[in-house]
Order: sequence, then structure tokens, then C-alpha cells
Amino acid sequence: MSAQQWIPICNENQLLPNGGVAALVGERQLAVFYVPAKQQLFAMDNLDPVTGAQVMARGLIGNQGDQLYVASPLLKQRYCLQSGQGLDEGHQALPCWPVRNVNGTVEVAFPEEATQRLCA
Amino acid sequence: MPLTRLAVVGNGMVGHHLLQQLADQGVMDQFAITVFSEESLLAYDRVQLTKYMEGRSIADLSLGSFEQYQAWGLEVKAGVTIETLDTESQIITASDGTQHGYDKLVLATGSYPFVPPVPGHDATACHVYRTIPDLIGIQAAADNARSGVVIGGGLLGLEAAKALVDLGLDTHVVEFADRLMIQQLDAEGGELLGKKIRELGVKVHTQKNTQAIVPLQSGGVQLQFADGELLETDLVVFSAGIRPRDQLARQAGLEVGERGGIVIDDQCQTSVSNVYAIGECALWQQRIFGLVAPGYHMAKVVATQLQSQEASFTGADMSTKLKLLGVDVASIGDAQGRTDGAKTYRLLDEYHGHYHKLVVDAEGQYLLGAILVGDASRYSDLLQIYLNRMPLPEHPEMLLLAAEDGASPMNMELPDSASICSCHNVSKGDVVQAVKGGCCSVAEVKAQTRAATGCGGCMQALSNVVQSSLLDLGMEVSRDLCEHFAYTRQELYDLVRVEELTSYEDVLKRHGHGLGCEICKPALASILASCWNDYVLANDHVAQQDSNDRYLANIQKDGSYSVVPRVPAGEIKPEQLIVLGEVAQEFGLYSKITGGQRVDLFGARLEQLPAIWQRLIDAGFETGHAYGKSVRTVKSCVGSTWCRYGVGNSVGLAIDLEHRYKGVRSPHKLKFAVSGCTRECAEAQSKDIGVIATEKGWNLYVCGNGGMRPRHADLLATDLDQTTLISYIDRLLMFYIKTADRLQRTSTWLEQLEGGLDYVRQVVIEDKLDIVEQLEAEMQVLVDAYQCEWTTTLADPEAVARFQPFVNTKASDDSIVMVSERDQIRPATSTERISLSKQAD
Ligand code: SRM
Ligand SMILES: Cc1cc2nc3c(=O)[nH]c(=O)nc-3n(C[C@H](O)[C@H](O)[C@H](O)COP(=O)(O)OP(=O)(O)OC[C@H]3O[C@@H](n4cnc5c(N)ncnc54)[C@H](O)[C@@H]3O)c2cc1C
Ligand code: SF4
Ligand code: FES
Repeated sequence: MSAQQWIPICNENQLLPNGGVAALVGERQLAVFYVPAKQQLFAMDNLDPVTGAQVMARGLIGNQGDQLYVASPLLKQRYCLQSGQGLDEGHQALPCWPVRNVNGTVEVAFPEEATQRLCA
Repeated sequence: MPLTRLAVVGNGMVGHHLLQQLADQGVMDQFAITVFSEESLLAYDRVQLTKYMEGRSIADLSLGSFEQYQAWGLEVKAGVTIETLDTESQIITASDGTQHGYDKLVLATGSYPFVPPVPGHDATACHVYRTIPDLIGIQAAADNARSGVVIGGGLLGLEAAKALVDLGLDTHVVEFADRLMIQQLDAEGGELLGKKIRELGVKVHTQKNTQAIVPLQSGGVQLQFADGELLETDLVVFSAGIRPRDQLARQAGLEVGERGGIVIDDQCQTSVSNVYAIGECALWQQRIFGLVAPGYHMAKVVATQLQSQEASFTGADMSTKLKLLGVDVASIGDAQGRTDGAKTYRLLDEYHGHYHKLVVDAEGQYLLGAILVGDASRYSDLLQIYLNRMPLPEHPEMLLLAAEDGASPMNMELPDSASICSCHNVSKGDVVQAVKGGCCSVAEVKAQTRAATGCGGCMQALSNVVQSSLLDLGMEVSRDLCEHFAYTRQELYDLVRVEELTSYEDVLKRHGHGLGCEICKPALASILASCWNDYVLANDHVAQQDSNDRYLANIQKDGSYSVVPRVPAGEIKPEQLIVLGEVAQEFGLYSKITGGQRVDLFGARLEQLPAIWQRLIDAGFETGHAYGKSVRTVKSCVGSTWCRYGVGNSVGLAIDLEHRYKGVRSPHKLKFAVSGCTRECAEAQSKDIGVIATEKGWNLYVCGNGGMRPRHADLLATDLDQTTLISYIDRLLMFYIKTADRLQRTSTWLEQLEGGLDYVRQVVIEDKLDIVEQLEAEMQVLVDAYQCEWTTTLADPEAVARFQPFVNTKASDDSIVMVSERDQIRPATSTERISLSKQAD
């Protein structure tokens, strides 16, 4: 397993409060979500597992009890923002990545090989 | 204490489930786990394999992922086969030459498709059906094929036949026995299934013993049967049963069954105590289980023992319910009636094509088994009766008859121990407990217990138990919008109006709690727009808009968008048609005439939308709101202007109506139509608002619907002049907007409104509530506040910037891939994308 590296993504004011934006890192698409109420950031793959489309950043976010989630904009399946676990069909979890705000710059960490194209 | 070294050989459904169990129980960190997967893909849902042919992506079928396994701290070796096992030194050797020591070893090697050794079985036209690469191979072969034959008419053979049908092949099923699904069905059931499948165009050949497969010049093959008959085809899929993969166990000297299978005891231990076997490779009491649920049970038993706790596998029920080529088939327990003294009740309904059979014990007290073909709605009831050994009613035959109306003939009070979900071993007691613990919906119970997240066969039973437990607790089925707002949509609408709230955040702060969700956000965005008609992408609103509204375009299955400019009443100038053509050409879009008398351009990327709309707006078009819960189109016929029968200017009125109501947001979409006479060429009586010209004016029809549940519109008023007509429409729409539920079309709104059409007439025409002036005024506000959302957006650089696909680069989104069909574009399928990206590499 190779070391993680932090990759700058954007400035904090480019984020959509209570929503997501997409980013391209290498060949991999990420969705970065921002919840201002708790100053929380989340990053996960942008790939909707059900349709194979790169659209998760365009989904609506919400909470069910303590669990924060994003609902796919296409067929509305929900995934936990924290763990990526599917909340509806129990299908594949979406990979989630560490993300932080360093003096206004949003950074995401993941192993270098993960920036390669997701291809089966 | 050093970590226990656990090696798991095989990463199929069951091998993965073992890992999932350890993760769920939070004990991953007690082990150093290495997983060996012969397939280069990690575990995927083999049960749903055929879905891949229906267009599901590989990602959707997958159960395990490298990232997930990495997060769990596992070492994963994919594309590697374990070739030898030395149980003395506790070392396994992999095909890449590496050796690995273990403390505990789990074999989850599954099974392989049996291919009968007939001459020619290895011809290139011959395939098997077990893995995703198998499917990709079949798919590639099907490109140049017209027909395909499945050898084997069992459960898996019929799944394979479904795949061939999906690929558009002329499909044959060849079965050695005298009927299909000999394991699960009796003679009559198998016969009926065969008949139904033949009706679907699949050719079924029973009692056919394939003796040779002879390659032909054409690339196809000729099947030669023992009775002398011949069948030529382009491709063959063998589905003649499965055999456990026990080579590794044999080589290591573990005990295996006479006809194969790694012998295990109740603890799933093989003849060497620190080696377990689970899933389809394991032989328990001389039985191999060819279904996934028993394998999951074994995985759980092993996961428990790995934590030094006791657990045992005590066998599994083999009942199944399936949809084979669209035909419902279910088989429970001793379906063939082999138990001594067993008696049967049978119902063959040739009229509807149903066959139902119950097998009961000699005394007629208990259900031993059942078969359902054609209609399996009784399955979950019968399964509960069987599994829980519930005493049968005095006339068990009633269980056969009641299937039609869906009502349960027994007032079934299941014991708490009753199993609801066999995939995840969830009992009725567990479900009741979850509801008592605060789960208020099937979705919440699913998330907590995992019930119904496996094969899905228990969904009906689960939702019954959830509903009845909610009622037992005296809980009403709530009309609250969602967990964030304890109000109905109507109440929220009133609050927004009365308190003059203008943003979602305000409403949430005052009347809701939490962060909101995908239900309340779009619902409130719509209510706010219905009250104030503010720009939907203003900073306050943008994050609440549903996907289509957020980009003012309809999202397509691949993440691209469609573009639908407004064409009021379907009337369009030649110059405008030319512009549409030019835009489609310039941006490479697919064009289609819609069912709403306008043109839809498909396949635009997010970043193209602003440029496309700039062109359209420059040419005088405006947004068509195809994305909004708002007025779509006002369809019209040519009317009195041209038509020899026409008595009213239907196009003129339709244009006026479309311009008046365009952009008004409502609980659901609104469709209008105007016809020039009673011949009704504009189909106005299927619309929310329909207008038909008469000799004296206009007849107004309301609350019609096409779509999923068509409803004829009701005649509200006759022979109206245009001013009265418009005031009635204003009032009706505003009354609907105020009082309907979210996503309720006018048709269901009317049906659920107490007092129905008469009440609407009292409110809208007779002014019983004394509100018509207010309704008209409120509508006028919305009409006056109209703006073309695309024009507003293009004038705002910040709004335009949101159409960039990525925040961190100007790159365009290359995940959208098109291919050509009938000389226009369409989204590539997942297989096409793989082959395109291979070509690129
Ligand atoms: C393009 C079109 C089909 C076509 O190729 O002709 C179409 C396409 C869609 N229809 Fe439709 N419907 C289209 C005419 C219709 C019609 C016919 C009509 O309007 O005369 C109907 C039946 C009439 C009716 O609605 O009462 C129709 C009944 C539906 C329904 C079912 C509504 C219902 O109450 O049962 C949905 C689903 C929904 O709205 O929830 C739907 C939803 C959709 C959506 C919006 C699905 C979606 O959310 O992605 C499709 C996307 C359009 C796009 O991407 O641009 N579409 N749809 C037609 C666009 C008309 C237009 O110019 O705006
Ligand atoms: C088309 C189809 C439809 C089905 N429908 C249903 C259904 O409706 N309901 C139902 O309950 N069941 C169904 N099944 C059966 C179900 O898929 C199996 O019961 C289940 O997959 C068994 O899981 P398993 O992990 O034991 O074996 P598998 O899923 O076969 O996994 C075993 C894995 O181990 C790998 N392996 C083998 N040997 C080695 C080695 N030496 N080293 C490394 N890796 C190795 C194999 O390559 C394979 O990936 C269906 C099966 C198919 C093919
Ligand atoms: S509805 Fe009447 S007026 Fe309109 S086109 Fe048909 S026949 Fe002519
Ligand atoms: S029985 Fe398969 S999901 Fe419940």
C-alpha cells in the first residue's frame, strides 16, 4: 500500500453550501460535499454505482437521524457521506476519501494509484 | 497478542459475505487477513448476473471493492489462483508462485459449470454462464449470431435463456428430461412453465439428449440429438448443472464426497480442524446447496467461530421464488411430494395460466411443500406457514383459491421466531424490535436489520410485518412531509404564505429540524416558487433544487442532459426549425420530436448547456420547463383556421394559455391541450387542463391524466367565453397548488379531495369559500413574475460557472461516451465503453 498524498482541490468559497461539486484528480472523478452547519467536508467517488454515470456531486444531501447522506440524482439511491455505505439496496459502498480545509484550501488524500481510471 | 492470520480462498458471494460479517461485527482488527480471488473482479452479485445483460453496470453488481477492502485493512490478491495447500505446514501456494502461511483457512471456492463431455463440447461457439467474463464472451459472440441454444432447462439454464433473449437472439432451450426445472417443479408445473416460455417466443425442446456438437463452415454448430434430430445454431451455452470446486481440497488430502464437495461438519470445519469450507464448494450431510442464502449462513457460522464463540450450521431451506423470462415460479419445501403419505391439492387454471399445488402431510395438518407457476403472490404466506409449521386451516384448498385477490385466507399471526429474511437471517421478532426501537418505515427497518437487502424475495413479508407492527404501536401512517418537517405539504404552503418565508433555510429554522433531505428540499423549493416565483437558481435556492431544476435541463441515464425549448402550442416558424437543426448539428445532439409537440435535443454535456441556450435564446426561443414541476406544453390542433370541421381558434387560445401559465411551479407537472372541435385531435380530455371548442365558446375539462394511470378529464363548465375560461383555470390551478400533496398530479388530487368534482365546482365557480378573488390575484402575481430561467442564468456569470463539470480544472467530462445509431448519437452501453477504452489504450 503506498503512502497517501494530500491533493489541493479548490478554494473553500468554490464549494456549494449544503451541496456538492465535482473534481477531477488524475482520471478519477470525486464529489466533494460541504455541510456548513457543522463545518463538515466529505469526499467520495462521483460514480453512481447503479447507472455507472459520474453524477453523485449533483445529488441532494440530507440526514436520516445522525447519518448524513447523498441521494443519487438519477434514481435516488442514498449513500452515507461518512462511510459511502448504500442505505437503500445494500449494494456496493462508494469509496470515501479523507478531506480537509487548510487555510481555505480544500484538500483530498488518497493513494497515488487511486487516481488511475476506475475500470473493471 | 499477534494477530490471527486468516486466509480466505475465493472471493465469490460467500467469501465476501464472511468478510462483511467480520466488518459488521467490528472485529477486523483482530486478524491479518489475506483474500485470494481467482477472478480479477472482486466479489459481485452472481444471482443478479442476468441484469448485466439488461444494461446494469458492473459497478452496480459488485459487492466488494478494492477501496472497501483497503479500508478494512485486508491484503487482496486478485487474479490469483491458489494451487496447493499443505495443511501440515499451514502454507498455501498461489499461481504467481508466492507462498502464504495461515493460522486459519477458509475455502470459499464455489463451483464451476459442468460441461457434458460430448464430442465437440469445446467448439468456439460453446460457452458457459457463471462469471462476468462469460457474459462478455457471450455478448461478443452474439454480435454475429442470430440464434442461440441453451443446453439445460433448469433454473440457471432459463436465466441464460433470458440473457440470450435480451441479446436479441432466436433462443432455444434443450432439456434432457421431459420438462423444465425438474428439481423444483412437478410434471404439470414444468409443463405450464414450458408453455408460457414458448409463448414468449423461446423454443423449448424436451427429452433431447445431445450426442454431438459438430462445427459448421459458417462458424456455427450443429447439435445432433440421440433421436436423430438436428438443430443448427450460432452459439451454445451449457447449463447442465454445477460441480463443487474441490480440487485444492483433494490435492491437500481433505475429505471430499464421493460425487465431489468438501466435507464439512456442523461447524463448517473440514477434516482438518483449522480449515473451513463454506458456500457452494462445501458438502454438508451429503448435500451441496446451490443457492446463496445457505452459503451466507455458513459464512456467519464461521465468522462467529473465528471469534471463539460457538455457532453451528443446521441446514437450510431451499425454497425459491424467481421470475424466469417474466414468468413467476416458486417452489417450497417438498414440492414433489416425496414424503411418505403426502397428499396434494392442485389447481390448474388454464384460463389465466396459473398452476398452484400444495403438498400436505397424511393428516392434512401441515404444509410440506408447494409449487406456484404463473402467479407467485402467495409465496411469502405459504413459506411462512411451511417454515413455522403453522397448522393448516380446515380447508387447505382455500389457500389455492385466494391467490387472486391477494387477501390472506388465514389471519396469519406469525410467531416471533418466524423467519422473514432468510438471506440475512432476520426474524419477525427482530423486525418488531426494530419498529419498537424507533424505525418508522420499511426503509429504516431495512437499513437497521439488512432484511430485504439480499435477494429481495422477502420484501412483501417485511413490509407486512412493518405495517402491522406500526399499527400495533398505535402509530398512524403519518402524512408528515418527512422526518424534518412535522407538517403536511398543505400546512407548509400556508406557513410559507402567512409568514412570508422566502428561503428553505428560513422554513427549516422555524418549522423543521436537521439538515433536510431529498424529499423536503425539492418540495419546499417548489412551494416557495409557487408562492413567490423567485429565480430558482438564486443562491438561497440552488442547493435545494432537484437534479433537473438545478441545471435547468433533464438529466439522462449517462449524466448528459436534454434541451427542450418552448414551442407554444406546437406552432413553429421555419426559421426556428432551422435554428434547432443548426444547434443540433453544431453541438452534436440527438434530435427527436416529443409527445408534447416540440423538439427535444439530447446528449448535451453540462458545460455545453449555456452555449446551446445562448444560441436558442438569440433565435427567440425560451426555456420549455421540461425539467420543472410546472406547465409543460399546451398541445393544440390546427382548429378553425385550417380545419374544415373547426369551430374555434384552438391554436390561438393554446398560445395564449401557454404564455399565461408558463413557468408557474406546482406540486407536479401540468399539461394542457386545446381542440378546435369535439373530434378532439389534441386529446384535451387526457390533460390536467383540457379545452374543447363549441359553437358557443369553450368547454373546460379538468384533472385528466395520461401516463401511468390514465384518467379521463371531468367536464367542469361549458360554453365559456375566453375571459371566464381563464379565470376558472386561474382559480382551479391555484386551489390545486395550495392543497395538493407533493408530486400529486391533478387527477389524484381530485380523486382524494373530499367532495370531489362537486366541491371543486363549489369553490371555483360558486365561490363557496369566498376565495376566488384571492386565487386570481395570487395567480396574477405568478404570471407577472415570469422570467425565462435560461435568460436570467446566462446574464449571471456566477450561475454560468456552476455548469463547469469540475471545480479544479477546465477539463470536460470524458465519462460521457456516445456511439452512433441510425446516424445519430446515443449513450454507449457499458460493454461498448469497455471495448472503446481498450481500443484507445
Ligand atoms: C420527451 C418526452 C417523450 C418523447 O420522446 O416524446 C418525455 C420524456 C420524459 N417524460 Fe414524459 N415525456 C413526454 C411526453 C409525455 C406524455 C405525453 C404528453 O404530454 O402528451 C405523457 C403522458 C401524459 C401525462 O403526463 O399525463 C408523459 C408521461 C410521463 C410521466 C407519467 C406521469 C403520470 O402522471 O403518470 C412521467 C413521470 C413523472 O412525471 O413522474 C414522465 C417523465 C418524463 C421524463 C421527464 C423523465 C425524467 O424525469 O427524466 C422524460 C425526460 C425528458 C427529457 O429528458 O427531455 N412522463 N410524458 C415527451 C416530452 C413532451 C414535452 O415536449 O415536454
Ligand atoms: C446465473 C445465475 C443465477 C443464479 N440465481 C440464483 C438465485 O436466484 N438465487 C440463489 O440463491 N442463487 C442463485 N445462483 C447461485 C449463487 O450465485 C451461488 O449460490 C453463489 O454465488 C455461491 O457463492 P460462492 O461464494 O460459494 O461461490 P462463487 O460465487 O462461485 O465464488 C467462488 C469464487 O472463488 C474463486 N475460486 C475458486 N477456486 C479458487 C482458488 N483455488 N483460488 C482463488 N479463487 C478461487 C472462483 O473463481 C469464484 O470467484 C445463481 C447463479 C448463477 C450463475
Ligand atoms: S379537433 Fe376538430 S378542429 Fe381540431 S383538427 Fe381535429 S377535427 Fe379539426
Ligand atoms: S430473503 Fe433474500 S433478502 Fe431477505
